[in-house]
Amino acid sequence: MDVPILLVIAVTLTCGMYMVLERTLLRVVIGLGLMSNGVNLMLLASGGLGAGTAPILHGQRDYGASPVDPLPQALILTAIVIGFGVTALLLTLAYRTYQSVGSDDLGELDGKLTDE
Amino acid sequence: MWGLVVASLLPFVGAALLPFLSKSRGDNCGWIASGFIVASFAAVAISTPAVLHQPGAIAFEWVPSLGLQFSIAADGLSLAFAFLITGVGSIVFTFAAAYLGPEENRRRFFCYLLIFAGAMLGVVFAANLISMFVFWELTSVSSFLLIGFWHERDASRGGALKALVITAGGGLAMLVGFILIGSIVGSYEIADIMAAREQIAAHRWATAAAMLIMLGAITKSAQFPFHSWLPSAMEAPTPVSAYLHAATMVKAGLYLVARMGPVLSLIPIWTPTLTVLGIVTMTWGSFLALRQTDLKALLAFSTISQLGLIMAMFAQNTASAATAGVFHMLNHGLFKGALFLMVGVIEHEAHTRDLTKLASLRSNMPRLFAVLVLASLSMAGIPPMGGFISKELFLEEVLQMPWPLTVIAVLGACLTVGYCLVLAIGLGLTHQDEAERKHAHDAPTALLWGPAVLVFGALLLGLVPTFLAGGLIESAAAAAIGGHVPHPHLTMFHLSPTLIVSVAAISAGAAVFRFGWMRRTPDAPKLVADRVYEAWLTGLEHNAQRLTASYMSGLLWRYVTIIVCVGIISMSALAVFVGFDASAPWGARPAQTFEYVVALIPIAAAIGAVVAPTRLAAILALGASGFSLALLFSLVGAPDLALTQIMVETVSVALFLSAFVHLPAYRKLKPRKFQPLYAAVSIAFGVGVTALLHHARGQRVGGTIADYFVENSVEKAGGHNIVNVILVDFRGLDTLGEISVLGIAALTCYALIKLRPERKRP
Repeated sequence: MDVPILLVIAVTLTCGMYMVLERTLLRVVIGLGLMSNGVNLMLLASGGLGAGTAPILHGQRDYGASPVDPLPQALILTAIVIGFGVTALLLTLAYRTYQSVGSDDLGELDGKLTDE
Repeated sequence: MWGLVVASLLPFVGAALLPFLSKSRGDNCGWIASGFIVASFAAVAISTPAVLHQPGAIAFEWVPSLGLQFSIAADGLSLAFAFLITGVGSIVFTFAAAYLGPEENRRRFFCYLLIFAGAMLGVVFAANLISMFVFWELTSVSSFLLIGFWHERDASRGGALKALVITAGGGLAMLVGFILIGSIVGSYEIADIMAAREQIAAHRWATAAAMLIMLGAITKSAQFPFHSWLPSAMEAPTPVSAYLHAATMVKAGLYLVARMGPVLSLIPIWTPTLTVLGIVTMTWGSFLALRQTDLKALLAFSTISQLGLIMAMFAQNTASAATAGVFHMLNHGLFKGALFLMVGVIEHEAHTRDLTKLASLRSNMPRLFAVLVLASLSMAGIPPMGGFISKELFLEEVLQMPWPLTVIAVLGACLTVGYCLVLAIGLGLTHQDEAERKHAHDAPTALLWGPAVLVFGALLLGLVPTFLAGGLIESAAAAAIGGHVPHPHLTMFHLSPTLIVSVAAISAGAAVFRFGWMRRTPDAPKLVADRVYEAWLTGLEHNAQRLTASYMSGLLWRYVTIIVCVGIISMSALAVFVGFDASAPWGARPAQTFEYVVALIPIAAAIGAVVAPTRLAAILALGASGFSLALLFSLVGAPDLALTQIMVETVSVALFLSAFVHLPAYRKLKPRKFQPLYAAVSIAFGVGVTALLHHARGQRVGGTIADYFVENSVEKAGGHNIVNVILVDFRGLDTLGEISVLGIAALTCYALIKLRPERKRP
């Protein structure tokens, strides 16, 4: 299962970075969203994917045949939620910037906000 | 020995207590500070007999992990400097207490001055090269603060900066030299280094280390070609010039040369280079001194010249030369300190220090003039002052040098007599008119007694030198050459070839004064070294600005490109040097075909987000990427992640859609073009990070801490879903923090949308 996941990571990060390098504010935010998806997958892959048994105990310590590391999952869960917070904040900033400056072109923003 | 520890600590204690001890306006600061420095002087004086009898050392642990210790050692050499620091210090402090006007910030002034005195004592008592360096730079910093004391003046700030750049820069070179020596010997203790001097001299780094340490010494002591900071430092209040830039700080370089002489003079380049530099500095400095019209500038160049003389003596590393060096250093501290203080008095009373404007001092300030003449005589080397004896000793050494050096040095001696006569006679004879005579009045005793005491000391050094300082000089010279020195026979009365040279130099100097000074140009020429410094400084500023402007574009994508490229390059370099490990297993089981198919969804979604022609399509593509991620999560055994991802993705797509209504359409203006450079950067980033991840997966050492959670999940937390238990129980506080972050983000979003400053519509 690792090879497809690694492929997904590589493509998602590449596309995310390409969009972050653009001038349109909304596309930069979308690019960051893509990158955070890729990074979440990276965290998962770094722990080793195992056979795909969920980390749920059946008995006292009975953990099935091929255990999955639960720790990266806990980290990713946090990361997903925080990533949402970041996206929300960025979107609001983009909205507010456009309201104040009248442009969503990052190349035109330089120095404009200070003049306001 | 403990007396000396107390003596070195007292100034620092004083500096720390000064703000609390002084009255609100700081009027009594000067007297409190003087009390500390006089006490320090007393402690040095009390400790002297014991230390001269038996030099000693004390060590404290400082940074044990680095093998550094804070050690103090004292011998004659340290004591000779300590006497200058605390002795001249006592005079200068009390003088400054009377000299500074009530409007000055005395508290700040004396605080800096005490810190300087403590740092200087630290330099001369340090038995470890690293602690010596720390104190050395502390003297540079306090000198910076004191030169810039009148910080509202442009010239003060410029002078302070120049002094700091040159002396602290030299200090850094010296540190590199120290570290080279330390790595050769394996210890920074000066005693160990002395013991290993043969080993150092034979090492291939020896010459480099000697040159670097020499750089530290000649920048600090304002030797050619680094002399230009000292005249600029004359912007400092006059007591500072007397103390730091005549009597003590500029002598730190001499101390370094003397202290390290026994080691470094074994390296062939040391003695010749320093001798030539010293002699050239002496003559060049005295030549420039003759051309000044500002009294303080004249004294600054004369200090440069005298420092060159002493430097040449210490560089010889012979018993007689070291004796001459130590003796002249004591003399110079006394007479030059006094001269500077008197210039301060003159400026205080006459409101100018321009030689061409000053009225005749002989009739206006007779008492001051008498003291001034005595000090100048000592500097010129004319009996009965101490300067005469030290100049004789110097000439004796010079006559044994190669003849070009002898000629230059004797020329320097003539010029020295010339500028001393400017002070002694020139100031006394100048013309004045009647109006000035009415205003003029003699210096007040409160200001005059300090210089008078110093000059009296210089006179005693001439009359009874052996009785007064014989033991000290002998011990100091012995430490400076690292061997035995015969008890010096310093006497005024002798017949030797040097006496003839001396008489000739004095007569030639008189001629220089009569025919040279009387017809000199009124404007002092700008120093070449100054021009070089200024060109360097402006060039540095200009180029730094251009460099910064070239990458601080204010454009987000350029910043990101630079950051990513630096990351890629450094990680690639690491991969080349450390090696890339591709041996990590490709998973516990081979991937099945349908998994490849599933993986195609997020890949297609990501590409779709990039190529999407409209905003809506891009947002939906991002949503597709997120939802397909949930699918992947469920396939690899992460049901909680899948559920969370679905929830969050739903909300964020809704959020995007509600936001995009308010944002403009994609580039209505023109269609976006494909950017090959950014595509290359992005691909390098994606592939590089994935490769790094794959490399990292092969590097796992030890077990996973997840075992703990597996073991205790049911037993301690009573839950079967380990991920849930980690989030709400084991790491419950982290989750609380996460919730707070979301709360703050929500509040910020609300504030951004709702709150805005009242704007006046035109």
